[in-house]
Amino acid sequence: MKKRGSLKRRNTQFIILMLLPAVAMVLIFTYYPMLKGIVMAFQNYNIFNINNIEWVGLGNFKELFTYTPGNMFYNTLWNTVKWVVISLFFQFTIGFGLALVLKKKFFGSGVYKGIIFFPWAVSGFMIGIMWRWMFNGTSGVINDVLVKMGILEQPFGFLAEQSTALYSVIVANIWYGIPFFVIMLTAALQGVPEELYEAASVDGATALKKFYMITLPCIKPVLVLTLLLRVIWIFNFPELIYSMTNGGPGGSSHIITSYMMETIKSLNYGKGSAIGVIVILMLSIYTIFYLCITKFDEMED
Amino acid sequence: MTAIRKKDVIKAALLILKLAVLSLTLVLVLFPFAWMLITSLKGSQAEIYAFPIKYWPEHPSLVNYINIFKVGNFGTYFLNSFVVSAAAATVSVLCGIFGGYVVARCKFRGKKAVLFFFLFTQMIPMFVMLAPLYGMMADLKLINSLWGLVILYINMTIPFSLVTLRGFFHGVPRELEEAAQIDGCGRLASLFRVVLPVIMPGIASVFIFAFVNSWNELFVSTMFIDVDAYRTIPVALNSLILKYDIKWGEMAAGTIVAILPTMAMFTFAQKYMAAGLTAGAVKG
Amino acid sequence: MEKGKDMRKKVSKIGAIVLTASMLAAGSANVMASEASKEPVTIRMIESLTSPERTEILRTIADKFEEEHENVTIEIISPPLEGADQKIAQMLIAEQPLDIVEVRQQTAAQFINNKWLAPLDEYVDAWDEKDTLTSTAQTALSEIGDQVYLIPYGFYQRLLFYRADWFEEAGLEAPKTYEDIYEAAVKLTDASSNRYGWSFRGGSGGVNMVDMLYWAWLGNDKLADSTAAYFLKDTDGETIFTTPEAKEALEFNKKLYQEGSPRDSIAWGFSEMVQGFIGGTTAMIIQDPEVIPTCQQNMEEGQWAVQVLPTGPSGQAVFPNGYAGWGMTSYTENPDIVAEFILYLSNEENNTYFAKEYSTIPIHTTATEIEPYFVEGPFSVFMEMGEHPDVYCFGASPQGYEAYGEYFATIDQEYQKYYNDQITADELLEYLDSYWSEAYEKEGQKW
Repeated sequence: MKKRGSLKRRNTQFIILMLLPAVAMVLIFTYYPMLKGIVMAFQNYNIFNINNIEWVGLGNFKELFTYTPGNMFYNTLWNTVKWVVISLFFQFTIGFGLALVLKKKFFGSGVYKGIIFFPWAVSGFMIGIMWRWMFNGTSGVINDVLVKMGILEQPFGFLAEQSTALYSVIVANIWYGIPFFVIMLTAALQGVPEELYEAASVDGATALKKFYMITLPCIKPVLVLTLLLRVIWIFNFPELIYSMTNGGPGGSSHIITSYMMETIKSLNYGKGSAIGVIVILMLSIYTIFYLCITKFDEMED
Repeated sequence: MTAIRKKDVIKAALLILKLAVLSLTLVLVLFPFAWMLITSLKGSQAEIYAFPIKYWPEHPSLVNYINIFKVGNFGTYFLNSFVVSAAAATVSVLCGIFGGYVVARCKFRGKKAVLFFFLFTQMIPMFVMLAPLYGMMADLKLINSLWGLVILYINMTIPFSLVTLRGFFHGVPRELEEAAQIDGCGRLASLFRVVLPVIMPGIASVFIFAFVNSWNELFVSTMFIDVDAYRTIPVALNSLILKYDIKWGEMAAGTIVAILPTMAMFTFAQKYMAAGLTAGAVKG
Repeated sequence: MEKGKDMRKKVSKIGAIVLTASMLAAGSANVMASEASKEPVTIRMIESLTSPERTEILRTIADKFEEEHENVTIEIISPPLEGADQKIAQMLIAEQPLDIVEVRQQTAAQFINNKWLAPLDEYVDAWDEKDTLTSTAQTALSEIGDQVYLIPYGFYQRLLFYRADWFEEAGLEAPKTYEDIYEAAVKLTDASSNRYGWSFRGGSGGVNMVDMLYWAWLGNDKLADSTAAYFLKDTDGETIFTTPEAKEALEFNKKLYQEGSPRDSIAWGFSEMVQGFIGGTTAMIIQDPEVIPTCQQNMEEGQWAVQVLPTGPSGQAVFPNGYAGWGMTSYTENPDIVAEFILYLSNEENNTYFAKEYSTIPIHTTATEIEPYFVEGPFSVFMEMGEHPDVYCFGASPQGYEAYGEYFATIDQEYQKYYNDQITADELLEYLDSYWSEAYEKEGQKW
């Protein structure tokens, strides 16, 4: 009895010690400043004048949700949905497809994988700058190529038109996000024991069947996790929009986080923080919902 | 006979399709880089802005590359970025190994809470905490120090490392470890000697991920570093955006130079990732 | 680097002693400074409108100062332009070691409100070169806040750049009025050869351009104050946006965009406009003098020329006399030597040098004697405008209002909606009117 107790205690100690570095780090450098940041959401915290900061309760939130001609908030919410769903769909399907193709080694597959990885090696803001320049409506290379190919009659201001600005940024985002899926999913696919496929082949399973019966279940944990994280990250990736269109024209390419950046830039930290709180809430609800649906916790055992 | 031929046709068609998809993807992925490379070789701003667009510089020159290293101190920035990213990625992966292992292997109450604790950090927009974080780092005297940057990058990448590695630990059969423990290995020893080699692909991906994220980080680095001597590459590149002009040539050259180490690392890690599994450990 | 500096310092030691001695005789402020000179002092200054070239100019002046004061080390911090002001604000909130900050018109009110800047009155009063300051510089000294919080380092007045060769080709004269600009723009626009008349600015900061149109249509006499030109004179906070002139000006701008500018320019900011011009896409652009060296470097002589600002139907051109300057942090530990350096930066010799290299309008009247650059060539345009104060007047948006921060960050989006036909001119003007009426009601008269 006594021995088991001490074993248990040692076990607990082991767990705590192993978790401590990560937990302590995140607690101090993420949670603490976050809480302090959230407090600002309930104040009229404007760094134009930090000497008269007062509590305003839900005032900042009210301002966001009140409909006025200049209020872009609802518009940004809808854009956010488009931004996340379209980006994710293409990043994932293309990324997963490539990962499957690259699973089997062929001549030059290593080099190929290396090249596919390129976009991910560039920082978000540089990608924005790069694509903004290529999309340029008068002297951009994309326009030039499309005109030369006969697809366009004359240069088109992709980033200047309300109808195409957001989608143009999404194109850049897809380009940027594919490598992530390729990397994570090829790593996961390598973890699928080859014996399973061999056994299935003996049983005469088709390729499609093997995919559903072996590949998918084996990589499900990684799949579920990467999809979850990717949604959160795409959501929290305003840099690209910021450097490509700055939310324009007419706010047509703002998503909630880029709108938040703009608000903070206008010195209104209180309102910016309120948007941040809304982002956190939305993502938490999504995550809980998602984890329930995918039965993430059952995968523990 | 016909059946076989039909099968062959399908196979050939699939192969062609595969090749077509692969080459199209390759072109689309490479195109912006090719354009960057061409731009970086254009010696003057006038040539860069020229209309009609020039697809090859009239007088290819390396002046942009020379400029960023000679005038721009790029060597220093490169070193800073490398040190900071390597240190942050290493510590982050270590923390991820310890934490991820415990969460995957041990039974304890509040496990889900721990997982959510880390997942939650990903949902917080950086800008919510930037201002308080600045005050805090100022109090800790960690502003203008590469250490401060390392700490923030570790903090930024830990959640992903931990949660991802946890998934990889799941994939390792328990028996493997138990066998090692019966052989007299301690828990940590068996973790390092038996389990880690098996999940090398995971560790490599997580390390690269943490490294690249730190390598490319701009906002924190802009905010927390003042002096030129501690600058990192993204900040240096961002500085090329001037009030009335963007130094495209140097920017393109800098971008090309900046992706070299991450690419080298990936090429290197690739072999590793494959090797991790070929080890006989799984098959017994 | 450090070693070389030590060496240089040793070499200049003798010179420094001589200088210190001469300063002792110079005046009381200097006496204090030289007394403090026994201890090593580091002056940290931060730039906002950074560029590598400008940092180098400042470094040269700082090096000279260091040579004269061997105990002083000057550290120049140059954050990337994008987000520099945010960083500066954050540093000031946390009271990070900073002695000198670059204060811009947009940030001056904020810095003063938050008591981040120390008044410089006593130093300026004792300054032997204050009498040679130009009248605009005199005004700028205490324009924002009740005391002197910054010493301007230069002015950015605008001028018109145009493609002399294209104008000649088309048989056009240099435009004198906005109507001329419109006509020339339409005539020179030929989308098929990627050539457009006007460098339109619809992106970040585009509001600055359309403001000038409102004012040119209204005329200076109707504006309340040169620091709050959104309000009408002799009214209780009535805005200019309700006037028929404002509507005409707004509609003019849209016409100019739709008929004489690249479609893309709805998203253009400062850099795209300039690129459009020097890259041979657009024929005309209204910009700061900083663009002069860019043109000199990237275009051939004869391709471009400059001209005074065009006037509107009112017969006037009203434009912001943009400036920025150096301020001293309120918590600096060595105010005397810091102020001495600020004044050193601003003295006739150094400011003229700075203004020429950086291409801004200098702050001393004597600059034109020291440097013929300011009377010859492109800069003579400013002399010309200065000679007709009845035609060329200063006016600026109400930057002293708290409401201005949000306004400036978001308003371009509203204008873009108008240029894209999503909202009408009346809707936009109504929005502008209600925004500023509300601000006036909330914050009162701030001029």
